[in-house]
Amino acid sequence: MSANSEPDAMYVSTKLMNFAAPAGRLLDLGPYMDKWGIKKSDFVGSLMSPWQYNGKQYALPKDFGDLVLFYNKTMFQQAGLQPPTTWDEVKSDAKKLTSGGVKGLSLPADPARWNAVLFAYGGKVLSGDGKSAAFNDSKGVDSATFYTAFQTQDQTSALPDTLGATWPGDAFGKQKAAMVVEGGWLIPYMHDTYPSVQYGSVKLPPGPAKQASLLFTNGWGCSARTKSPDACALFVKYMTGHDVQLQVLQSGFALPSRNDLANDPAITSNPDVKNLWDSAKFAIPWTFGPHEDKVESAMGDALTAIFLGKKSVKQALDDGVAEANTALQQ
Amino acid sequence: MTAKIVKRGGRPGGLIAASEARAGLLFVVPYLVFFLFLQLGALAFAFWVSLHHYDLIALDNPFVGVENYLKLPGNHDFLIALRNTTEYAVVVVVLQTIAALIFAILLDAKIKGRNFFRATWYTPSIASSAVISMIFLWVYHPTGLLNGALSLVGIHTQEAWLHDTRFALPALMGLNIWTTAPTFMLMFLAGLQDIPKEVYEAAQVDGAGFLKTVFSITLPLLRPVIFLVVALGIIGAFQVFDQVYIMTEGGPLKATLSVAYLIYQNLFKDTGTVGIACAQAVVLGILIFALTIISRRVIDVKIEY
Repeated sequence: MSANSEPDAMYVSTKLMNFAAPAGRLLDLGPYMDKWGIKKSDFVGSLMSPWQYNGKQYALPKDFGDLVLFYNKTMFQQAGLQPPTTWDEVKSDAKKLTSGGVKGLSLPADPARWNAVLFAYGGKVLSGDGKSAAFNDSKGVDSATFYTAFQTQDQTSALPDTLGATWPGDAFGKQKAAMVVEGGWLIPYMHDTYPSVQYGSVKLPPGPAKQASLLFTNGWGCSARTKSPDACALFVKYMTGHDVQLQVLQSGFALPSRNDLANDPAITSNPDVKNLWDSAKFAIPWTFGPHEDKVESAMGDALTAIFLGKKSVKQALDDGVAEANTALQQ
Repeated sequence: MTAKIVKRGGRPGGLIAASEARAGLLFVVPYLVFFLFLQLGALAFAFWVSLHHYDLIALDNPFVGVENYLKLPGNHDFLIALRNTTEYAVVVVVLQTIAALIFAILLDAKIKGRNFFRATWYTPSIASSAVISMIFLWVYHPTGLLNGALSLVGIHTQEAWLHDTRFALPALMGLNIWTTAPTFMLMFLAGLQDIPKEVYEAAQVDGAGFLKTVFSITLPLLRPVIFLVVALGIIGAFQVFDQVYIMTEGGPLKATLSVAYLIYQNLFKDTGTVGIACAQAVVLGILIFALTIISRRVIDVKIEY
């Protein structure tokens, strides 16, 4: 794109969207959607906003992944526990499931997990205008305190590395953690790598403000400089259409972006996929402006500092906001 | 050939010199093209970009003069990266030079299985730094080789070396010393071969012991090689990138953030900071250049027999 030789049709990430759309590099799909009969209502509602800027639609969602709470069925049965439905139960279950080298949870120093909790507390990552970071208000502090206390106070959670795992899903598969907050990608991973582990899932429990989850999505869009906008729009229509989205669903790695697949057996017959699908209703998309990576690393550093006991929660988040603001106001 | 020279008569020397210069130029053309366009050209382009507010995506990149340079002293990340890189370079250059020298002197001595030891010690330098980094991810893992080895001597720890702000940078230093010292050992070995045997024999006749010979003959006569090793070490250490990229991504809490990795982040992980990245690259380049010149002044003095 910087060399002015971008293709007509593009896989658009939230980051690309956030700097390319304001720079006028993406095609406004609105007129072509009307022309070729693509309806906004075809798509899962929460997936559309990341691709909108100044009221225009610059891409259409190609798939999504969101977070639910996965739990180890065997370990829960042995402890005589029911799957948790509130965060308080998650907290008390984690205590009961922690023993020896096994932890109740494995929560990483990853903003993409903490943010789900932040949203449930009613917090925000960026201010309304997106020009400054806002994750250090009281909701940010409370949610980060809650998220990190599993490890720093209760000692019922440990970073995957400490458990001899490369990521939380790996710790879950090795049965070193009884619960993890992960997405649909865990399902094929468990099937391929740890087929004998019995697990289930529940939607993330409601927080003090609301029920929330975090959602990742990518889209298909067109270059503003394309010579054949109609062909490109038709391509986008095909890629986000029923047939291709059915393949996305069947691949098992991500969920389809279309409402007309809600009753497909691949969703309805698998309770874990169903939980993921239903969570999209209240999930909030991961999209933090053109400096997404800097914002992410600022939040990640804040969490790491809390986990390592280097800073208080408030101090860590204040420093994180200051770091993110340097990038946002550059 | 002889016939031609005779035919040219009067000033054969000059003509031969001219044609040799032409041939010589012809031979270096491939490199010259490479140098002018891909090195000097890239350098000039980076400098030009550093004078702009440059965005990979924008259509218009306004000229801002030296603004990007003036921002650097106030750039928190840049200062951290500069401190980390300096710390890294000092430790790595000093230790790897000493290690390489010791091993070169030992392996230059007539010991049994010398070739075996030379080959073994050189092995780490053959693998690519990416491969070594992957291996060391497991060495430094909580359940990895290092903690395993420590438990054999009675120290039981679950330390995640790369996730601890105290140990992450030293861990990368250790890895780098282990990988590059052997290459420099090879240079020292070559340097040692160049020292005339007569000098050692004369020293022996004068009754000098092993250490006396090392400090009075070997080290002074190795000075050009020591300079080369230190200069290459400085250049390499200040450019540290692969290990950071693969093993720590600058973390934890920027403990291993190097200037080169910061430049990469500003270039490709963010948008609108390409000008700043280039300014940082220019400063890094000047810094390395200056340090190389200084080390030459200090080390590479004229040898007097």
